[in-house]
Amino acid sequence: MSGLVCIVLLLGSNVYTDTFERAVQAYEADDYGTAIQLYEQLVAEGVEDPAVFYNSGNAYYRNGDIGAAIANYERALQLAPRFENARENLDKAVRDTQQRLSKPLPSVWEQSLLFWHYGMKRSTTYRIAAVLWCLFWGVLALRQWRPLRYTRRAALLLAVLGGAFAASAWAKAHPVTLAVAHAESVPVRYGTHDDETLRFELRAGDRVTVDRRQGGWARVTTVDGERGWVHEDAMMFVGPPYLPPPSAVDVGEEAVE
Amino acid sequence: MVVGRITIAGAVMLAVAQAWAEPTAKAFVDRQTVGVGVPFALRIETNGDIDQVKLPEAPGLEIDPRSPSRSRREQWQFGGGRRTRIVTVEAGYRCVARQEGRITIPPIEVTVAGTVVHTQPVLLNVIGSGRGPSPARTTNTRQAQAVRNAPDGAPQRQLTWDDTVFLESEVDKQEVYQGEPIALTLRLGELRLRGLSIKTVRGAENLPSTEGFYATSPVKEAVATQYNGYPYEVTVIQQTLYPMATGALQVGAWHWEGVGSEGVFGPQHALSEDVPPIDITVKPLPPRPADFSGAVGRLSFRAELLSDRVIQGVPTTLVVSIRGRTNPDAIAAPKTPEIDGAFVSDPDKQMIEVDTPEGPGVEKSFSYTITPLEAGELHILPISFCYFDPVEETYKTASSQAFVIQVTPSVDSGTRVLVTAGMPSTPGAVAVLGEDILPPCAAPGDLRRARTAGASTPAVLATPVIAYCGLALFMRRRRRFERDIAFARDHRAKAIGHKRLRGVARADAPAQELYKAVTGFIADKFNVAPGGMTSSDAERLLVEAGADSNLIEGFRRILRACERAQYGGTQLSEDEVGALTSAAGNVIDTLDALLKKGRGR
Repeated sequence: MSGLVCIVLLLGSNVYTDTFERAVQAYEADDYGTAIQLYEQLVAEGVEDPAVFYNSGNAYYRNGDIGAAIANYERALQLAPRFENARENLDKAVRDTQQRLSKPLPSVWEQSLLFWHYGMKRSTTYRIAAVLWCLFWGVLALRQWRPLRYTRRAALLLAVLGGAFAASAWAKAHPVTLAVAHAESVPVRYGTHDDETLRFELRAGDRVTVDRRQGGWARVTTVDGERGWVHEDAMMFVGPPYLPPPSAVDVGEEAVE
Repeated sequence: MVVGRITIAGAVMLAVAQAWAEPTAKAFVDRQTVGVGVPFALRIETNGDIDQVKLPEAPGLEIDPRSPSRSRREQWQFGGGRRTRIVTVEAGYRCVARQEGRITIPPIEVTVAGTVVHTQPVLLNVIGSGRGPSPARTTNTRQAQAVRNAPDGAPQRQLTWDDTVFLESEVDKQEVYQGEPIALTLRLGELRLRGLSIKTVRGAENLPSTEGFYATSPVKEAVATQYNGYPYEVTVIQQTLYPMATGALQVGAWHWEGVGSEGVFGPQHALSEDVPPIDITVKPLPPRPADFSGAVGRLSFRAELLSDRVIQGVPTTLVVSIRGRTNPDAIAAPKTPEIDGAFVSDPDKQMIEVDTPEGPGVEKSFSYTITPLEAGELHILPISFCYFDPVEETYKTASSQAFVIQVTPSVDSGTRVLVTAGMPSTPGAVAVLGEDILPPCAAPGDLRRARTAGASTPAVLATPVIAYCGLALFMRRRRRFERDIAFARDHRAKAIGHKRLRGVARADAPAQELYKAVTGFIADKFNVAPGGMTSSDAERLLVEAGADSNLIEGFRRILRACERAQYGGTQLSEDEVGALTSAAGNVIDTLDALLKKGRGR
C-alpha cells in the first residue's frame, strides 16, 4: 500500500516537473501566454513553490502585466523570504510602476517584536517552535525526574524562545492580506458604491493591505495610511488562496484622470 | 454672406460685452443672526479685481479693517452653446456686533477695476450673546445659561461651582451635501477669578467623535471675555468637517472633567460637563458629470506655466492649483495634458493650508513636468476641473487658458537618452535606458502539492504535554511510596500476602509460613510491626477496622489452626494446608477490598 502511495507521489511529482519545464521552454521561446497558463495550472493543482511564483512573475512581467508580476513575486517572497532573485525582480517591477508605492509595513507590534523573523520561512519558524516546545517539556520532565541546577532557567529560556518562534509562525501563517492593483487605474472611493466620492487612485502594481471585504468591494490601506474602498475585481490578492489575476476587469465608473 | 458677417460681428460683440461686463459688488454675512460679541464674517464679492474698499460705519458694529482675507477664482460656464468666463473676487472682514437689535450695514463703496460701485445694504439681527445664533448648538445649559443669561455688567447673583465652567458645541449647518464643509466650533469657558483654580482632568484634548467625517486638525484659540460681569477664558476649538458618507451622521457628545479649588489649600470640587451630540443630515450629490473631480466646495482654480521658453529636452513645469474649503483627499488630479512632442509626467501633489473668507481651507497643487522632445511650438490645451458648488447646488467646470511653449533645439540634438519609466517610445528620438529582470529558475527542485494543515500541529503540541503529565504522575506516586511507608505497605500488602501464600506449600513449616503470610498482610495493611502478632492482636485490629464478624472469624480460624500446628505439635496435612491457604487467599482479598472500599467512602 505504502509503495503504491510512493509511486503515485513520484508520478505526481514528475508530472509537475514536466509542466514546469514546458513552461520554462515556452518562456524562453517568448511565448509568455503559454508560460503563464502552465504556471497557473501548476498553482491551481496545489503546487505552492517559490520558484513557480517567481517564474510566473517573470512571465507576467514580460507579458506586460505589472500587477500580476508584482503579486507573484510577493507570493514567492512570502514563501521564501531569502529568495534574492525574486526580491530583485520585485524591486525592478515596482520601479516600473507609475507611483512606485512602497509595500505597506507590518503592524508596529510585529515590527518591534518580530524584527528578527523576516528572513525566515514559515516552515522553519514552525519547526523551531515545535522543537523548542518539545525541549521545554523535556526539561520540565527532567526536572521531575531529577532536580538539577539551572533546569528552571533553561525551561524559562526555552519557553520564551518557543513563544517567540510560535508567534513568528503564527504571524507568518496569518499575514496581513496584501493586494496588488491589477487594473491600469483603480479608483479608491469613500464607500462601497460607484457613486461614492473618489478619494484617490491606485495604479497597476501598487501594493495595499486589505482589512475588510464585502459585496465585491475591499477596503484598502496604502503605505501612507490612506484608506478607501476598491472593486475586488481590480485587485489581485497575494493570498493564499493563490488565485490568478482577474481576466476581465470592470472597475466601475471611470476614473477622473 | 452679409447675414453671416452680421452674425459673426454680433457674436464678437456679445463676447466682448461678456468680457467687459459691468462691475458689480455684493455683500454677505456668514450668518444673518449673530450674538453680541461673537465674531462673524462680512464678505464682499465682485466680478473684477478690487482696488479699494471703503468700510462703512454702523452703530453697534465693529468691522476689523486689518488684513482682510482675499480670494480670486476664475471659471468657465457653458450654457446656450456659449462659453462664458467668470471672475469672482472676494474680500472677507472680521466683524463683531456690540449691541442687540437690528443693525443695517450700509452700502459699501468698492472700487472694482477703476470703477466705483456699491454693494446692497445688509441687514443683521443681533441677539444676546448667551442665546446664540447658530443653527445647531449644543451646550451644557445648566452652566452656560446660568452664567450668560444676563447682559454684561455687574454681577447679578452669587456664583456657584456650576458657574465656573461651560461647554458649547456648534456647527454652522446641519443639512449638507456629501463632502460639503461644516464648521465645528467648540468652546470651553473657564471662570478666571483670583484665587480660583480650575484644572482640566479630561476633555480638553478628548474632542467629540467625528466618525464619518474627514476632519481637519483642530485649531485652538484662547479668548478672554466677560459673561454676566465675570471674566472667563474661553478656549475656542475650530475644525472643518467633510462628511464622507450620506445619510444621518453625528458629531459626538463632548465630555469634560476637571477639578476646581479656592486658594492653594482650599477644598477641591470635582467638576464635569457634557454636551449632547449634534445630528447632521448628509444629502447625496446630484447625478455627477463624467469629468467630476470629486471636490465639493466653493473653489478657485488656477493653472500656471513656470517657463514658456525652453530648450529641447529641458523640462518645464505646469502647476495646477485648486483652492478653497474642501476635503483635500477628495480632489483628484486633473487629467494629465497630452502634448504632441513632449513627455508629461504624472503630477506631483502638494497641499498647503490657507485662509479663505469662509474660514481655513486648503490649496492643492498638481505639478506636471513637461519634457519637450522636439523643437518648435508645443500647445497645451486648456485644463478643466469639474467640482460641485454646494451653495449654488450645481456642478461647475473651471478651465485654464491654453499655453504655448517655445522649444528651441538643443545643441546635441539627435538621440536623447532619458532614464524614466512609463515613457512613450518615440523611435529615433528617445531611447529608454532600462534594466532587465533576472532570468527564471530552470530547476525548481522537488515540486509537490502543498500539504494541508492536518492533525500534525495538535499532535506535536499535545504529545510532549501528555508525556510530561504521565511522567509527573508516575514520579508523584513514586515519591509517595518513598515518603509514605504506610501507603507503600498498604499498597503492596495484598501482592506480598499472595506471594507468601504461594510459597506455603513448598515451605518446611507450612503452618508457620501461612501464619507469617496472614499476619504480615494484616500488619502491612494496618502499618504495624508484624513480629509477635497473635491472633488476638489481629482480631482487635480487624474489629477496629470495622470488618464483619464472618471475615474476622475466617482470619481467626486460619490463625488458630496455624498456632495449633506450631505450638501443639500437630502437623497439617497437605489438604489442610491447601484448604487453609485457599481460605487465607480469600480473606486477604476480602479484607483488601473492604479496606479499599472504606477508604473510597
